[in-house]
Amino acid sequence: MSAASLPAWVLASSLLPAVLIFLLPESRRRTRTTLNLAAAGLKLVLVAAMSWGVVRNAPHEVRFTMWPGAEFILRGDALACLFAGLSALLWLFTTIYAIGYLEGAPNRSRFFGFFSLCVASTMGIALAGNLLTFLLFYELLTLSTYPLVVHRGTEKALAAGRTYLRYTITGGAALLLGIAVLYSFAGDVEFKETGSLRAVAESQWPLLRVAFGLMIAGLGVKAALVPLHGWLPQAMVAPAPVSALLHAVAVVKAGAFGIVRVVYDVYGIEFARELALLVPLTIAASVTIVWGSLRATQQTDLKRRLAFSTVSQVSYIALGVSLFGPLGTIGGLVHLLHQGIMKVTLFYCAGNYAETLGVHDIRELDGAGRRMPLTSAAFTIGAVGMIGVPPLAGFVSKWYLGLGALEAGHPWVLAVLIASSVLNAAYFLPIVHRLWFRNASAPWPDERSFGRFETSLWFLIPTLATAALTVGAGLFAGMPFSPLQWAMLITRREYLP
Amino acid sequence: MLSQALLAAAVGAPVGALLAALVPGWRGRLPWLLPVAPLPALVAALLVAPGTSLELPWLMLGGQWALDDTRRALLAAMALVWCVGGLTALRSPITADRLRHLVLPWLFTLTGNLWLALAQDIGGFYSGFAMMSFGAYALVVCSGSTFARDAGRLYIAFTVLGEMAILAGLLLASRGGAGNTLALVPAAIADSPHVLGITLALLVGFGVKAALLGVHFWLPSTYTVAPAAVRVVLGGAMINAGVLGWLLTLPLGVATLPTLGRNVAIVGLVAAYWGAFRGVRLGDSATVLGWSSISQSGLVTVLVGAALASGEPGFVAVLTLYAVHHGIAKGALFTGSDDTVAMTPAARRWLLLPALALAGAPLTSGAAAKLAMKSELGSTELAWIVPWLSAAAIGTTLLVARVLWCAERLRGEAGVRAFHGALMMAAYREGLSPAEHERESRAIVSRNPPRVGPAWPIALVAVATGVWWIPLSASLDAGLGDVLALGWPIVAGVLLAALGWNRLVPRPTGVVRLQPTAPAPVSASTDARSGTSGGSSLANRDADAESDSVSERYDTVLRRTIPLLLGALLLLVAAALVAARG
Repeated sequence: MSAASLPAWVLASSLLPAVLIFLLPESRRRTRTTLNLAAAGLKLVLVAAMSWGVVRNAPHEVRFTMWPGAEFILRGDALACLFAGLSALLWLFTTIYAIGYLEGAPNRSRFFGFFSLCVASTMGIALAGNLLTFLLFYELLTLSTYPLVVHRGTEKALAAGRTYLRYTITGGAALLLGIAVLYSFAGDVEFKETGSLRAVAESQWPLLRVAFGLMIAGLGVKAALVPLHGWLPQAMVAPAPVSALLHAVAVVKAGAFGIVRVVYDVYGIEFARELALLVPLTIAASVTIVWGSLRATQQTDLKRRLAFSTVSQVSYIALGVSLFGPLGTIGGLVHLLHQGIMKVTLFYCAGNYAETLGVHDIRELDGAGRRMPLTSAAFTIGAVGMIGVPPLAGFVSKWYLGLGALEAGHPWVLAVLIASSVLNAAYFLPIVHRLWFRNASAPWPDERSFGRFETSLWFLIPTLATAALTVGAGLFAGMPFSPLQWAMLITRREYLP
Repeated sequence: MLSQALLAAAVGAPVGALLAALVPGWRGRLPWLLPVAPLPALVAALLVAPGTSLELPWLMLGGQWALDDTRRALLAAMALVWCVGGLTALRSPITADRLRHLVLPWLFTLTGNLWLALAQDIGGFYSGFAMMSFGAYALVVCSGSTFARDAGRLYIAFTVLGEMAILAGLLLASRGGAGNTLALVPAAIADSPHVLGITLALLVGFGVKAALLGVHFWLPSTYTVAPAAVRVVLGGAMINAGVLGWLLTLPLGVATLPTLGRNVAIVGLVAAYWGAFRGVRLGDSATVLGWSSISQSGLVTVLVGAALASGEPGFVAVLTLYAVHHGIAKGALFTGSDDTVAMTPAARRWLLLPALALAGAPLTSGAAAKLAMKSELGSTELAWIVPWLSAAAIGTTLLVARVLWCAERLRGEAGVRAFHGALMMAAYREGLSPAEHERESRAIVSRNPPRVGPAWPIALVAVATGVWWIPLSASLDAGLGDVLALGWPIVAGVLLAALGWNRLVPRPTGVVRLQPTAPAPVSASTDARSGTSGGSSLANRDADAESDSVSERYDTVLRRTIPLLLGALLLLVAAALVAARG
């Protein structure tokens, strides 16, 4: 394989396994597991190789013309590597988790097939080099996630699936419309650092604004911007690994990543500011941050609380993007990674509690720290990181977002960040308190024993790994190739052509 | 090179201990690390060559560790207090019984405390502060009792509030030109258009830890329910982390903010009196000492206010001196007042030493601190505060007399009862039947009989020698006038205590430590915790039996203690006079 075709190989490393897994008979458990893990490992290597191209400032690119005026472009630029790297890493962990989770369950072939397809779509979104390619994979993601959400096949799951489709297909239509408006006078827009619409005549600016609104609304559905977030809390009926993937990498993150692409690489941050597009986005993100946190405090179901927390936290990314200035950009981009590793940890933990103890409700978690110390330690790290307590990952995000808000001249955003942190503390710390400082008052609802360890190693290893990453991303933020340093590299290129 | 290694070891030692305690199966064997882990930091504070710094670019947003005079003094005091606290933890029943659970949060909190004392970068400093603040929650509630949980809720609420205020202040300062360098923060604030707002945010944010009046509501209840060892580190070390936060970030000596400064000073003055007023009526030495911390912190606040108002840089040294003195003396008082059950009467009398130091008796570190404070204040616009501060020492004297009285009262039978009462409080959980409850607390006692450990002598030596090793900006050769200025409030306080006190203030009820309260408004719950009214059946059983004999025993106590106090005082005054002549 030639080096230039790397992005295609990254995509293929999950598309091919998807096809193979669909073809494998249900009973070939060992083959499927091997295939899954090998593919996930290989992808990680490929993404690392692609990132090296970015460091040398020679990104890999694959392109061909689909039809005149519409190109298919896959490009491994810095931003793509950020998202692809996160997806590849968390896919590996989530695959491990899912293998343990679905031990003995029916329809595993279907599950892992769509699981791989879902990751392939996410990779496509990450690597897409223009709006049309992006749209293609964005819609593919919608379709490949639906079977995962309804995997259990219960009435509740099917209802959640319907809601999910209704929201995302409408969102997809809005995105399509926005891209069409743009296409009508700017043609096929290629993603470019510092943007590519600068040359549009001033008379077309109102249309640019309309297109922006449509695209952000379309992307905002997946990114769960209030009031387009209704599907997300319902979708938490999905199996734990799906929730983890949904909230940390795939769907929600795809929406947020789309917003990043549109603002930086379609419009360009400086041009977007000239068009006065940023402040409305700041306001929408701020409202979402506070509203999501407020709703989270009212939930007693652990996964539902985490879901509303996602609504709030993912909007940190949109907030950072909308703050004009490099510091806000760094904050938004680094949170893309940080939110992923922290939230995936929390969902793994929720899964561990549900699978090991049968606990779904927060009030049943009393004393779980003694029964499952490692899981509870991971949960504590994830939760405290989300609040933004230093030296964990969430603090680094919040620090740069705060600086970015001041740099952009919106000191009121500081109040939003602080309000959100206080609310985060209000809904996370009581859980931590229950885990460690209360005694179990009743037997666990549905306890299973996994032998020597507190729970299955398939669950425990990914949970501890992402918890360790949460600590590392904050404590060693100054090291080369840390999320923070990578976000800084991207930012330099967005502001200094 | 050696100095850099010492700097690294100061934080590295507790981190290493923490990692060791994470190894499954090791934790039970590691409690001896509690007093040992802070020792490298103590050595570093004493020996690191000036100008040494350690660059850690990979740490957080770029780490840098170094010591200047302020940090060196406070680090030494904090490390010493942590060591004494660790020794107390090994022996004091509640903590000794739960050492396995205590090791991790203890080392975690210690790491944070030491890290913040060394960090020159904003990220590291704030990280250490957060580690310390959140880790201490686990220490406060380590007994697992219902009371501890109630107090813990208040503690964590104020901690989050404080962290947010600090975050806002540091963000504004960082954006205002400080970047990630802590040393640039004061100047950045001084140049900022939001100078008042930032200063206020940082005052309040660090004030939560430094026991600033207005954000102190968590303190009395927390000090009351926390195990003895935790009190020692809360009242002796962590309170100074808050003061260090003020010293490092506020624009002291850089900006002149007359109005804000004067108001802050007035808040401090009010705190000095209010703390004494509230504390003097209480019957539990830990709570009295808690209010004393609020009162002493008032004096620190006055200094901060004066520094802000005048823009004089000289206040930093005085503040450092005062904080170090207060941390050591308060840590010693907490250590000693916990040990009283097992102490011989002779050993108990040594409580006088830290008590006198706190009151500012001549020849103690307190005297040096107060003289420095007065001379610095005297040259500013706020000189009118000086007599008020002198008079505030009456309150301090009353408070420490009250602590001595509490300790004296708990001798023999009453002491054993109080000891059990405290343990029963610590063992109390909702839903526990009285019989189970009783069994549980007796089990704790039988596993950990009261005995005196090495913590108390070490703390005493630290206080006694404080005059020599605490960095003094004021010289010891005080004149007669100084001795009188320092002495009269103490004499007045002692006389006041001796004369009409038990008629002036409500009679304290026995050994009540606190009572269970439903989550109540802040002020109400702190009131209730003072133990002046009934509530818990278990607490009251002791209280009723005791209240009749209280005044009788009180008289006995007065007969024995007061002459001793007066004698010691006269001796000190005489010695000071000789020293001044010589």
